[in-house]
Amino acid sequence: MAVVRLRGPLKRLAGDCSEQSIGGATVAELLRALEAEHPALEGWILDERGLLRRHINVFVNGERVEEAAAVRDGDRVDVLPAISGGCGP
Amino acid sequence: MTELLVGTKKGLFVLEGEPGGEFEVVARAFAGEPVEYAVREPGSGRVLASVTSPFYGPKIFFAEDPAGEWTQAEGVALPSGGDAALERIWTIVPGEADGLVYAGGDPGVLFTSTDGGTTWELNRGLWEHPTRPKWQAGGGGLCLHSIVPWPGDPNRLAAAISAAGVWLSDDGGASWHRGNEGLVPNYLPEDTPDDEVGLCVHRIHRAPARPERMFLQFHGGVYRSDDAGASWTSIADGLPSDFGFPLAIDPADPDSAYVIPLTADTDRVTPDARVRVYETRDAGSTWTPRGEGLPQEHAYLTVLREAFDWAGSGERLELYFGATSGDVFGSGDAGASWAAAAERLPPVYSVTARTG
Repeated sequence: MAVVRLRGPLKRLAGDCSEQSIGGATVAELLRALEAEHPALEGWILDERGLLRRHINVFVNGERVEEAAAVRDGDRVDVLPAISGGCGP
Repeated sequence: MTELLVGTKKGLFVLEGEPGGEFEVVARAFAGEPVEYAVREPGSGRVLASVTSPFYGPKIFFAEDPAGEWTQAEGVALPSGGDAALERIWTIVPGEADGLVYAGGDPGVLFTSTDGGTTWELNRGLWEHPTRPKWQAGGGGLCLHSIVPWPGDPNRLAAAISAAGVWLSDDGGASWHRGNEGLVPNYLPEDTPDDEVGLCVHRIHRAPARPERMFLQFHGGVYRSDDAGASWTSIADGLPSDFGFPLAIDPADPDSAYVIPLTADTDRVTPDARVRVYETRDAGSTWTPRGEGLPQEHAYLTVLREAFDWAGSGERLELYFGATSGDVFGSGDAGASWAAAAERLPPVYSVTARTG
C-alpha cells in the first residue's frame, strides 16, 4: 500500500481525510483505486482518457511523475494542483 | 424584481434589482473559479451552474439556493477510456418537458437530463455523427453553445457548434441533420463543397411566437431563417460590422432581434469605441442603434455569446448584457434606454435573467 496525500477539495471529496492508504502498481492504477474507494473523486484527478488533468501534478516520494510511473508499498504519493493551473488575474 | 445570474471568470454572482436600475449583488458562489454559465430552471426553481476548474475539470453543480450548498451533478463526462475529454460546459438550457434540461459543451457535445439536472446523459446521436471527424474547433474550442428547443414540442431541437454549424433534430435528439444552407463563410474558399460543416456559428435563437423563425449571429454576418433553420438569409445590411457574438429576441414579436456588433474578428471590441445594441423590428430589413445610457466614448468592450439575455416581452421586455470589462448593463424598456446594472465584476462570461 502507498500513502496518498490530498488537499483542498480532493481531501473533502475523499471523506475529509488527507491521507489514504491505497494499493496499485502504477500511479494510474493507484488513482483508479482511489476513485473506486471514493467515487466523488471521479473526474477530478484523471480525465475520461485516464490521463492526469493538465494542471494536476503527482509526486512519488517527492519526484514529479506521469501516470505510468511505478508505485511501491510505503511510497508517499502527493496529488497537488500545479501553479500553472490558475486562470490568471 | 429581476434576478440576474452572472457567470464570471471568478465565480457566479447573483444580482437582484429593478429593470433599468442598479442591481445589488446578493450572493457569490464558486469564488475564484470560472463559471461559464448559470440558469434557474423555471419549473423547479433550481439553479444549475457550469464550473470549469482549471485544475479539476468541467462540472455542473446545482442548488436550490445559490447562496447555500451546491451538489455536483452526475454523468457530465465523455465515455471513459476514449481519446477525448470534456473541456467545458458552455450553456445549460431548460427543455420543453418537466425536468428536461440540456447542456452543451466542448468538444461539440450535448448532454440531456430528465431529472432537472441531477443526472446527465451524453447525446449519442451527435457524439457519434459520421461527420464529427471533420468538425473544426474555433478560437474558444469546439463549443456547442446554443441549444434551442421548440415551444411545446420536446422532439424538435436545434443546436449550434463553433465551428461545426447548425444541427437540427426532429426526434428528440436521436438523429441530427445539418441546417447550414445559405450561410456564406468568408474564411473558406468560394468552391467549398455544400456539405462543408466547418461553419462558425456564434449564436442562434428562435422566435417563440413563430417557432420556424430563427436568428443567427455568424462569424461574418447576421442571418434569419423562416424554415426552422433549414436555410438562412443574410440580414446584415445596416449593421456597423459583420462580426459579433451575442443575440437576443423579444418573445412577443417574431420580427424583433438584438445584436451587439464588434469591430471585426481581428479586433473584438465595440465599434468606434461606443457601446451600442442594434435592434431590428422588421425581421432584419433595418437596424436601429440603441445607445442611450451606454458608454459612448473610449469604450472598448467585448461581449461574449452567452452574456446577453432577456426577461419579459413586448413593451416590458428587459434586456441585459455583460462585458469582459466586468460591467453589466440593463434596459427595462425593450432597449430604448440603458443603465449600468453592475460594475467592476470579474470578466463576464454569461448572463441569464429571470423576473420574480
